[in-house]
Parts: sequence; structure tokens; C-alpha cells
Amino acid sequence: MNRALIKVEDLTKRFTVAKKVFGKATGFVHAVDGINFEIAPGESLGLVGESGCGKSTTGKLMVKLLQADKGRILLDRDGEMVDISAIGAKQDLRRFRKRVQMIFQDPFESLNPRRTVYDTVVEPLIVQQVGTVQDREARVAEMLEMVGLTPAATFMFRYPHELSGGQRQRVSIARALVIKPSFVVADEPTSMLDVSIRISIMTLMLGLARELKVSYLYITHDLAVARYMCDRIAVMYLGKIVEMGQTEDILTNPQHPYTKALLASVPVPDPTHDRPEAEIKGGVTKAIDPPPTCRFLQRCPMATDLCRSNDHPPLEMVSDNHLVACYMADTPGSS
Amino acid sequence: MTTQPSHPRPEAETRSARLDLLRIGAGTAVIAVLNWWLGGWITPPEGEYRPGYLVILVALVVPGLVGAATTGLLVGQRRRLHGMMAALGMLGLELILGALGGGLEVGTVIVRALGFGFGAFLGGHVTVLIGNRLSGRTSHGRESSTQTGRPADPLLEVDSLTMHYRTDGGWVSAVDDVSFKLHRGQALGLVGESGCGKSSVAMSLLRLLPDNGVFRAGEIRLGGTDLLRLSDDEVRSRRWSDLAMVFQGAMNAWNPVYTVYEQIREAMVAHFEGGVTEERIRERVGELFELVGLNPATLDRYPHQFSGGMRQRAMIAMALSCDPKIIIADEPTTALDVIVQDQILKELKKVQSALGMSMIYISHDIAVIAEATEVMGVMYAGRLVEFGSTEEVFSRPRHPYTYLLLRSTPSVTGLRRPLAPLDGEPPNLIDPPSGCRFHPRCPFATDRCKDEAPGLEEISDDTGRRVACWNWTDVPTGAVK
Repeated sequence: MNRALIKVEDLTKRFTVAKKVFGKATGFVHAVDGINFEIAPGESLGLVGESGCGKSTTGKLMVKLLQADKGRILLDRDGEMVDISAIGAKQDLRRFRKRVQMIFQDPFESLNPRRTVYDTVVEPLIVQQVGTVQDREARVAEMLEMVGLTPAATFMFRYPHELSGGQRQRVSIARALVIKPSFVVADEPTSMLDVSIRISIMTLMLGLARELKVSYLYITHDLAVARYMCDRIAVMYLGKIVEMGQTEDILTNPQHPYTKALLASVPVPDPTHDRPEAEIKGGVTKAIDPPPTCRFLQRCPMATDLCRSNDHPPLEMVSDNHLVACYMADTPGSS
Repeated sequence: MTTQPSHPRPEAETRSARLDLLRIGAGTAVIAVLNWWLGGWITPPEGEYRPGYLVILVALVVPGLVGAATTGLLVGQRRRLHGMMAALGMLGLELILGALGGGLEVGTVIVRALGFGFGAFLGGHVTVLIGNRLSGRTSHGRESSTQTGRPADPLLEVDSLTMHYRTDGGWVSAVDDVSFKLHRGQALGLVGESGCGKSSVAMSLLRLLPDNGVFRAGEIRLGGTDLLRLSDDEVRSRRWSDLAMVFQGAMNAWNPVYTVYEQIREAMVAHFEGGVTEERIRERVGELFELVGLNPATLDRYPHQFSGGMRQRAMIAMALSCDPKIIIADEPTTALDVIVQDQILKELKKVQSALGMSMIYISHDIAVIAEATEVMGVMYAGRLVEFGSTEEVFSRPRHPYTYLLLRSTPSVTGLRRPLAPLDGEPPNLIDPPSGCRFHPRCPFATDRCKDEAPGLEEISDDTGRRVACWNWTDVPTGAVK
């Protein structure tokens, strides 16, 4: 594998849900619980799971909208891996944000209604003190053209309410990419959009990734979308990554029972297709002070005594670049 | 099935508005004349007042009768509210006329005004009641005769339904000339982008439209009765027992301050009108809970104690509570996670086959439609552009929009073919494109498409497929899957 652009080690985030009288925390949601992964330059990693599994928290930790409790986030800076989880000084944070940006889910809420498209897109350039006013204007115009808001001059001075959902999401993409970051966290960027617009945004993001050599952490609940957007997929369940591997490998040869259930549940746009029954019990359990055993234990159709008596299984390689955290799937080559 | 985009209804509507004005004019004239005559009779120019009790009697009864008759004429089959408004208007009119006539005593004027007002109010009520009774009886009669008739008859028939929203910017043609049939036990799907009118169709079926939604043409026949001709009370009594709905927002469709049981009970009590005991209702709701996979022990919980999936299950139980003939599921799984979505879809299918119910699924997700339905309609910009059996539509889409929609849907199965983006955005329905509404985005469009709107015509492949496109033969076949 190539040198990683960004590397996450033992990343952990807990949210307090219960407190004692004097504020001592007694109950925690284990939103992200010791996850590890890395993303190569230009690669796109999909983070897939149901709501509440910690995928958005992971995204926010990566851009430092949230501070991790534990673990390291290493970002490649001119060949050396710098731990960014510890930076706190404004100066450093600014330098970091020049490289790492985020695209949010809701194009209706993530744009300031009182700012024009130009104001929104130019903001990162001002913060990063890039070029003169003229330079910035040229950059914004160029970026708007790139995201398909053409001609840029007609869109620059419009307000978000004058734009459709798809156009707004294009503005969000332009804002994230205008300072040419090397890593972008995209948190369900297409889930609020209509089917026909969804595809054009997806194609746009893929094209820009190739053109600007951006790596994505693509957060989505939709495996079909992940299939088109991501080189690799990591499946999360209650704060843990339970399976990770090449996209097609995960989709055609899922190992973890949760991945299997997820895949079996996705409706297929083909009435003649007969989907296998999803073997899974109940709904998502809460990640509040979970027992040390496998997180998936209560819903697992193939749980054994081995699973009940041991800790959460480690994420282990089952085949080439395919990692699974399950005691029942640890024999390489089994299916 | 019009070939032209013109609406027959606007004309009719202005005509009926003119008729209303005429009626109001006539009513006013009658009141004015009577007022003048009465005024003369009660207080003769020379001489004394007639005896008091007679004055009051005449002053109350005669205007009352006149008021009733005029309101009846005016209100006709309309809502009771209109009757009340008319009554208030007449009360005001009477006061003004009395004051203008002069020479009348204040007391007389007030008494007569009250007479008119009360009469008008009563008249409105009575007329509406009689109208309801009459239309109810005839519709029920017709319905039962149809039901015992041929079973091949469609259960629900939507015929050139046209429903527009009145807005400050103009008329929004949300539903335009939509026709389809739903048979007993069948699952029908309506698919399209947001704003294409699919939810408006659902709301039209239930007559749950906002005040600015106006039916401009068409019929919705359920077992022989045109739902659009029923009064509000009639529709209300049919709403859960004939047509029930599973709403999209399982979160927002529940009232947070009542328990789930109380809310389901309310619907049942309203429909069985005291004919059932409390125990029976409880038992029945418990059965329904079991049917949809919920523990009856959770009956008395509040909606917030349920997860999203449980709420949607309870919603299905509520929809089933009055034994409806048809359940309309408007985006039943949209806010849910994949696994829960799968469970809910399975639940709906199970319930449908167990109870032999007809279903209408409304979704923007063609994968959901593919899984759940037997026949489907594709909507674009307020119009039905393609209709046929789900399998047929998916394997051989005939309308360019359907074709592109299928091409642009990612799937986890099959080959990872490149996705074709569908350029452009759905049009503004206040000022929809001329001719075929899809022509600005259509790669197959010709000049004819810009000028003439294609009707939803049956195409010659004997599968009952209907397509609204001039160039459907140009759409590649068999390329999607």
C-alpha cells in the first residue's frame, strides 16, 4: 500500500449521558471506540452504517469539529506524519484546515442565508489569506465553473434561497474545495437530494477528486452510493469498525454478519431480483456503557459461546486488504 | 386523456363563480323588497304600530324563512361554514337596510336582523344536512350494487384527476390529468422526484389537501362513488374505513402528548360510533400490534418511547384499525435505516397479503417501488408519464424519463455500470414547459415535443402499458438492469 495521507490510530470519543451530583460522569455513549484506518492520497474511503453507529462523529473528529478523547490522527505533511489530534493553537488549526475540509449533509442548513454565493465560497480563502482580492475573485469564479455553476458571474451574487438543493450542494462543494485541500470529509452529501440530482453531484465529486487529487472520507448509509463513490468501504457498528476492504470485495464477499444483513436489506431496483432474507434481530442497540463482549452480539444470528465469553473481536485480516472483526469469520477464505 | 394541455375546468369554474354571484344578487334583491314591504306593513306611514307580539312574530318568522330559502339557494351543497358566513353577511345587510330605510325603531330592526340571521344559519344547516342525506343514500346504494357485481371491476379508479394549488404566484399544476386504476389486492406504486405531484395525488385521494388545493377536473371513484363529490363529513367518515394512510414522518405523525393506544383508539371510536366496548377496542388494538410485530404490552407507551421503526409499525397498526380497503403508504420508509426499512416493507407486504388489502406506495426510491409493487406509475411534473406492470416498466422502460431514472439509480447488485446523470432540474409548475413537460431535459426531444403535449396512450405491445411520449420508440430497450 502507498504511503497514507491520513492515518487514524485508536480514535475514541465518548459522550457523557449521566452525571453524579458533582458532575462526575458515570455513563458514556461510546460513539467512536478505538478505530483505526488510513486513507491513501486520492483514495476515497466509505464509512457505512446505520444511524447512531458513530460515522458522523468520526467525520467531525477528523476535521477537528470535535476533540477526540483518545487516539491519534496523523496527517502527512511533506513526507512526515504529524499528529493533528493534539493541535490547539489557532495558527496550527488554520494551517490544518487548509488541508482538511468538510461537506455537510443538509444543503439547506449548511449555507448562511444572508451571504451570497461569493461570500460563502471566498471565506476559506480570506481565512487562509490567499492572494489579493482579485486573485480570490478569479479563484471563486474558476471554482464555481468547476462545480457546474456556469456561468459563474450569474451565480456569484445570488443568495442561497435563490438556488435549488442541487445548486446549493454544489456551492458547499465549491466552498470545501476552493482552497485545494488534500482531504475532504463528505457527510452524506447526497442524501437530501433527489435521485436525478444525486447522480450529478456524485459524478461531480468523483471528477473533482480525480482532477484535484482529493481524498474523501465519504460517510453514507447507502451502500449503493458507496459502491459508486468509494475505493474502499469501512462498515461501522456502534462505534467500532466491523469490516473494511475493497468496495467490490465487501459487496460480493461480505464476512461480518452485520455487513451481510446490511447488504441483504438494501432494496434492489429490479423487481425480478430475489433478495436473501436479512438474518438480524431487532433494531440498533444503544452504545451506552456497552458490555465488553462483541457489540453485535444481541442481534447476531450466528453468535456462539465463543462470542459471549470474549471481548469485542479485533479487526483482523481475512484476505488481501479485507479486515473483519468477528470470531466466526476469522478463517481466511471461508465464506 | 387530453392531447392538449388545456384544462377544461377553469372555464367551468368561472361559470359557477358567475352563477354564485347571480344567486347572491337575486337573494339580496329579494331581501331588499321584503324589507321595504315589511317596513311598510309594521309601521304604516300614518297610524299606530300594530300589536307588539304580531310584530315580533312576523318580524322573526318571515325574514327567517326568507333567510333560510336564500341561504339554501346560495349554499347548495357547499360547506356549512359557507352557510354561516352567508348568515352573518345577511345579518349585516339587514342592519344596513334597516338603518337606511330610516324611521324604523331600533328594536324592530334588531329583531328582524336576528330573524334573518338565524333563519339563514338554520337554512344553511338544513340544506347541507338534506344534501348529505340524499347524496349519502344514493352513493351507498350505488356502491353496494357495484360491490356485489363483477370482481374484475377496479376498486379505485382515478380518472383524469386535475388538482391545482392556488398561490400568490399563480396556479401550480401539481396534478394534471392523472388516470389510473387500482384492483382489489393489488399493490400500486407511484414514483417520481420531489415536487412531481405524487404526494398531492395521495392527499387528493384522502381529500386531505390544504385550503389552496383546488380540484379542477376529474373523478376519484371508489366502488362507484366519486370521492370528489362527497361532503366533508362523508369523506371524514370514509377516511379511515375506506382509505387509510401511513404517513411519511413516523416522528411527526404522532401526537406526543397522547399514548399510542389513545391515538389509535380515537380513530376507532370515531368510526364505530360507540358501537364497540372499550375492552373490545383494546383487544383489537392488541391484535393489530401483534400483527405488525409489536409487543401489545407497549400499547400504553408514548410515541417518544418508541424507536423510529416501532413508530412506523404502530402507524401501520393504526392504518389497519378500521379495516380499510386501501392503504396509502406515502414514503413509508424514507426516514428509516436500511435494515428497519427492509423490515417495514416486509411487514407491509405481509399485512397486505394476509388481509387481501390494496396498497398504494408512494416513493422517490424506485428500488422500494420495485420491491413492493405489482403495477407502477411514473410521475413527472404533475403528470403520469408511464404506467404498467412493475416488472415490465423496469425491464423495458418506454418513457425517456423512466429510462433515465433507472439508468441513474445505483444498485448494490449486478454490474457496476456507469451512472448516467439526468441533467437539469424539475420545472417550476407555476409555469410548466410547453408541450411535453419533460422536453427541456429529454435527450430524445423533437420539435413536436415542444409544442404538443403527448397523452398517456396505450402502446401497442398488449401488456396494458401506457406511455406519454411522442418518441417512445426511440428509447433504447433492454439496456437497463
